[in-house]
Amino acid sequence: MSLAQAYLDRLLKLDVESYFNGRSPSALALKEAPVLESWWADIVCELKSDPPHLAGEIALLGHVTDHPKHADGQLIRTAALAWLDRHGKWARTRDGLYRLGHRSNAAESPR
Amino acid sequence: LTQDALTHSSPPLPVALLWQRGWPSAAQPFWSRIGDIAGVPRDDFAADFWSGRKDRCKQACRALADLLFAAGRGEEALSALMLAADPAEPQSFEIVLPQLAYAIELFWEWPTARVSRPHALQRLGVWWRAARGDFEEDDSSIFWITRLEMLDQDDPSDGLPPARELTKSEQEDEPEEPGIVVMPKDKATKLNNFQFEFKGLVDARLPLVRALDISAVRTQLLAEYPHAATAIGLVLRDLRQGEPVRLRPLLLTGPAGTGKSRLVRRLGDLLGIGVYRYDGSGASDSMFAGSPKGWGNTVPSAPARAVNQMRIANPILLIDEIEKAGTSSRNGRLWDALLPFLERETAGRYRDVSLDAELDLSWVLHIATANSIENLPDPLKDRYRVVRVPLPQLVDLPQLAANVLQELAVEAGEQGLTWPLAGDELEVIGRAWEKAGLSIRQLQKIVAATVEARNVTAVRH
Repeated sequence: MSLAQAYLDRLLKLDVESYFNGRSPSALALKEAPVLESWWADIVCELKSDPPHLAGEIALLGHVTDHPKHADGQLIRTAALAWLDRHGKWARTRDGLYRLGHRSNAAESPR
Repeated sequence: LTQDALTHSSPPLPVALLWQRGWPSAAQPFWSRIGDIAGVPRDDFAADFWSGRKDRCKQACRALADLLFAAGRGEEALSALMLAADPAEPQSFEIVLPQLAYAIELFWEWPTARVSRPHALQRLGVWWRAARGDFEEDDSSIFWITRLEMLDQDDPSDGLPPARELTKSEQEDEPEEPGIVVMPKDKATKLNNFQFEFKGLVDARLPLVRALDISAVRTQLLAEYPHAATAIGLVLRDLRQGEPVRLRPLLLTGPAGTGKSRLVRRLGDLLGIGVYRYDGSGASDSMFAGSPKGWGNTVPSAPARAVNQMRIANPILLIDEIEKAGTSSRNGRLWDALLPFLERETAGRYRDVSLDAELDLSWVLHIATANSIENLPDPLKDRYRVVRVPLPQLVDLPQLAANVLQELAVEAGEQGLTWPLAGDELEVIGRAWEKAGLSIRQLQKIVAATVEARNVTAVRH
């Protein structure tokens, strides 16, 4: 694992720890985070072995703005989520924080 | 490390919930865990939480989740959201699964001897299917569905309740957990305004907490109270795996500072049963048996209060320092007031003068502590099984000191305190402890002083 990846993993762990302690991302962190509009949750399951079980992940699809790597308005699929806010205001993926706009009501996530 | 991993050697609550056999048995450990959290008025939600109505219950769970997050108790909050997860509404899993999967895989630490990560993830697989909508047509809870799905799998998780053969009818319906009606309507008069908080008891079927995983309870108690091995063995001997917890009235006696009351609390924690404490030394008899209806400020009997507060039919009623109730003639009557509750037949149809209702309190678990039992009247002694808890001995020191140290660290919220005690430190502590009389309270003081001294030195260097 690269040092950079280890660093990101550590940040993620600290974030999750703060969520478990009842804290939400700070206003500043949310302000700087990319925004996902008209989003929906995409669940992918995969069969694993030893012991045989179904492993799943949830990612979000939606139109992004203010993302360092994507043009505004582009439809993207995020990395797997590590935390989805119960009020649907933000999401922490394995690589970063997103502020969430409106949930897409058209897309009952196409399975 | 989360605080939970430090205080318990069992998995975090959300992981433990994955093994529960249905919604009621998942709700019990959650309910007893959140009993003492500041800012979370649990009992305000009791009526909805235990209503048996899906919508009211989900609403109560979500409201509790908000309060628990606000109180900084994320594990309990996540557990509340798990209890609100509804297979008929797959979206309700989206706010549970990302954090649950991540935490199981990479965040939580727990001794995996009994419940390993792969086995937890295996069970979580059923939850993923629910999130995908596989059980949308199913009316059962996710806990029950998981149990059925896992029956087909080879699940060698040790120490967890073995799967039973299912009968045809069980395959169709989620079976009811054991439970009884404590306060049947036809044996009660109309409640007055002073008793509105007991209204929820009328005709309500309250769960009987079952004994799960007795051997794990034993192992844990022995680790925490090595000096009380005999007492622990006697207490747990009454329990039958998978059956409702029922104990003959038990009187723990031994010198002050042997940890008797705390042992009872831990027993309750580990069995998932709430402990209602009644202080024998400050007791007035009318408070125990209840005061008659029609008085301005009427109070139901202590066992009824315990049942109402815990919302289970078999809570533990702990009477602390029962021998101290004998010092005045007025208080002496606590002993008389107690007698009917200690006999199964009379407790099973106890007429509560405050509620003016006949209650079935025969399942309440009566545990009392006493520093000495010489002055207790014989009729009372006869109804208790008397179990001695001796003072610890010097050989118990390493284990007890480690426990005390861990508690201190949790209290202080500091990782730095968990440095193990060095050999010479332990020796010094041992000498001081022997001099102070080998009680656990003394040990707590001595260990705290040692750590304090150590911190002062650390700052100087």
